[in-house]
Amino acid sequence: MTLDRPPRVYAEWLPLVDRFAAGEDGVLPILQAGSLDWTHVVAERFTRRLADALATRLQRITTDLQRALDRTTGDVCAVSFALLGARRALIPLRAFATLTAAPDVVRTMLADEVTRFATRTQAAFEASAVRRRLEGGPLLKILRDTPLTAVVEPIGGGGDADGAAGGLPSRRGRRIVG
Amino acid sequence: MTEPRPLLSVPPVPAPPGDAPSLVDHASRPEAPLARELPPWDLVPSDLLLVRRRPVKP
Repeated sequence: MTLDRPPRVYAEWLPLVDRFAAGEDGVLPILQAGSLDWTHVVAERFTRRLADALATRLQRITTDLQRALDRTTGDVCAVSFALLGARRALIPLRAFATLTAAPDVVRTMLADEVTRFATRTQAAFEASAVRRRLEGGPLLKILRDTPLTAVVEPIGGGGDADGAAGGLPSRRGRRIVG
Repeated sequence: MTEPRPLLSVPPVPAPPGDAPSLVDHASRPEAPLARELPPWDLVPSDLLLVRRRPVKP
């Protein structure tokens, strides 16, 4: 099903959020333009679905990054490319965390999840590099030169003044606070 | 033969925070009438409720 108009009720949001969870970044502009009557019952369900979608995407990045790292066979340049790929993969997730239909507290929670993932992963990598004796020096340098925690703009996307990432339009959806 | 240790291991992704709904409770309006709290698909038209009347005994 192709929905060419922004979602307005919970039932319209579900398939779009599921598509984003499955890796379809093309739905992000539609989600950004969506609105929702933010009532007590909808709040719990909707927040859970958003958090689950984000966790699914983070899990996918984890799997892809580990697979890429396993293929590097110690080549620090290949490690750098793997890190850059993971950093690019975080861009749509940061954009997802800026959905204007959600209240500030939910957006902050989602953004914190992405930041926490990047921080934990970066710290684990650096600790692992420090433990290694021979290749620890170059590997640690590569890790610190291409940190996962860096917030990067997509190629060809500028982001707007308040820092929305993902190259999404700055159009604001209507948010009704119940 | 043991598997070679990976150069770097990505830590597992923790489960989504379980207290997320409680965060939202503060954002929603607690004094909102019940009818407004229910999403539209949960509302039953009042005329359908007439079907559930208790049958009259002879």
